Amino acid sequence: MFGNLLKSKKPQAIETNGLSDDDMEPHVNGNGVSNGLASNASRFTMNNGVSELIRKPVIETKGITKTYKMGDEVLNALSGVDITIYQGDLVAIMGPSGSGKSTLMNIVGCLDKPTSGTYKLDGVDVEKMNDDQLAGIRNQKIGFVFQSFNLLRRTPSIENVAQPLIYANVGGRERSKRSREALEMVGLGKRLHHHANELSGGQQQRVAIARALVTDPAIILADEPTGNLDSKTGAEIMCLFQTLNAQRGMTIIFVTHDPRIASHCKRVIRIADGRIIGDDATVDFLDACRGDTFRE
Amino acid sequence: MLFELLKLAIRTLRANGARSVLTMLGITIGVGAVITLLAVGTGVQKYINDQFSSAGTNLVAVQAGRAQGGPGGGGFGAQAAITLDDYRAIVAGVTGVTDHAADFSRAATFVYNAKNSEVNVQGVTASYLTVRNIAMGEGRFFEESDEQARARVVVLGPTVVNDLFPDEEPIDKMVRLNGVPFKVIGVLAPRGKSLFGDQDATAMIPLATAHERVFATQARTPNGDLRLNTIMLQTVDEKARLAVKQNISDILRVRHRLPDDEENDFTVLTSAELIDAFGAVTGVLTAFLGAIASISLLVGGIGIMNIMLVSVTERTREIGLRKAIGARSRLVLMQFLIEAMFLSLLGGIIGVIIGVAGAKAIEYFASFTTVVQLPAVLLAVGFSLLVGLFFGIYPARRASQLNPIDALRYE
Repeated sequence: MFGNLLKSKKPQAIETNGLSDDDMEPHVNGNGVSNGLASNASRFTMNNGVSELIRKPVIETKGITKTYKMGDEVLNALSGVDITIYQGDLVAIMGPSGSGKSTLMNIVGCLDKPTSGTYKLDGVDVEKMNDDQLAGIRNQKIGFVFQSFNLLRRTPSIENVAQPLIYANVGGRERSKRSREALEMVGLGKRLHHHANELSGGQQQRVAIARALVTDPAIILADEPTGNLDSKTGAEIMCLFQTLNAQRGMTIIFVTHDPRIASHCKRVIRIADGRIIGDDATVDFLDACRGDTFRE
Repeated sequence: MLFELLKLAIRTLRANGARSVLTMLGITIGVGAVITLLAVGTGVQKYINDQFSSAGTNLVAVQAGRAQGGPGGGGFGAQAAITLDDYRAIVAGVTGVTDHAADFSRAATFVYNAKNSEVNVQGVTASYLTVRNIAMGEGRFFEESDEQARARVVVLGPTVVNDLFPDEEPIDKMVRLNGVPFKVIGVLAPRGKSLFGDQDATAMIPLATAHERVFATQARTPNGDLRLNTIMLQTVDEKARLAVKQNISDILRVRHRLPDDEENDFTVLTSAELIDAFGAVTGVLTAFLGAIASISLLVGGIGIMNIMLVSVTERTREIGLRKAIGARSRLVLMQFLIEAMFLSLLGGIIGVIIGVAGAKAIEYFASFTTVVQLPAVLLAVGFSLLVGLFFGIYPARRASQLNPIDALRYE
């Protein structure tokens, strides 16, 4: 069913867990995401140990700079950023406001072009691409999740999820099939035809995550995904991300200033004044699916 | 993709139902007005065309004086005249003519049974009916022999019959025209009203009778020639008309002794020229009505632009999202353009329905023939589509040029 999602990108880490497609399906579809996940929590540590050596890089930036000219002044938003993010990473890019993290996110998300430096996304050099080519790259390789969901109001969930596939020229039948599958994956299999404005905040963010998943992207780029949610719902959403990472091998990048999000990631990249100031693997990161870890 | 964008447009427009309907209303009223007014204009044109066609085709008419400024534009000079001798000379000298007639008409006092009224009396040749394509109602028309005999016989138009013989059979009754006794020998079939008045308010008598018995005092020019109002010739076909016209002109200029540098003191008109001239006038009228109505279409277009601009601003985040998930600028442009065009096209189609209904309503309540033409409908619908395109481009361009980063942050 999700063969297309996993394809060659399926990381080794998951196989060492002994999880196959067949036994993860019932968890997600039948019991909902949270229940299925708790049992996997202890395996996270194991994954982390193996990962870096055998995973291939999805994102490689070298010497990325971004300067803005404001009148006579030149503002260096980024000054030489080198990051490598591997397939299956669950990583938070953290930094205070003004640190350049949003600029970095825009460049990593192919919404903006670096002033200099190179950026290879899923094996493709994107730094020289024109706007239309970048739109294609965003469509195929990146799934965006935003703080404010950005769903189309008065539009059924399944249509919301299907939007990226329209731009990928996927036919109507295939589109609704894949959209339904993506919604089932985030535990909204029974809310296919609810309009976005009839759903709770957490549900809306799940629809947004399904929309990010539906094109089977190389990375999911989540910009403060829990910023508009209460702690409990935020934990549920983080749990969903962790599950997708653990079970599907999704590469997920958070851009946040919230340490609680960082605490649920395997790796935290810190940025300040346009430079990387720290890049740490988290050994004992918190399992959001236990529900109690996200509270203050 | 186009189909997807159309579906998207329909969904968006439905989501903003009331606003979409109100925006559409501008176009609907515009197109409706264009269709109705064009139908009225075309109706007038058709009416006038019919009038001239009923007068007979391939007709060439000669009248005294110079027509000033074309049809309806001023009268004819009073000093010059065409005469019976002119008529005879034309008939003798012109080829390509199948039939011909002449008339001399004046108002006369008509008395029957102590009722009297003023009636337009036409002294006409026996051939007049066939040349003018007029049918008889009952009785008979007069013949060559009546004319030669200056017979006192009269054929009445239906209006005169209604006025003077309300419950009587008029045939064989005796009436007086300017005091001269006449016998009614026939009644014309009704022809209805024309642009120039009631065609049925007439009494026809033989030309010679009019010249010599009824209007003897008015019939002669100072030179003693017998006056005519109109000489009419029926040409063999369309092509002969211009030659006939030139021929008549040459003959009359010689007969009237006009020097080369002087203009004609007579006018030669052909039915086709009249139809063309009036067609030009009514064409201008129709275009004028259409232009006025088009202004409302234009206003409707501005309404669409206004709403689309509001919509672009309102949906900035949606645009940002669409770009983030892979919509190229061109697709965003097309999405908004299709929305604008769909709105105006739908408004236009509803406008056609309302416009046709309006034309039918005018026909029903004002008993005036309106003609809805397919080209007018297509023009109006096409124009509404163009309005959508034209006024949609600016908002759509604004949408497509939004920077996705800023658009996603827009509050």
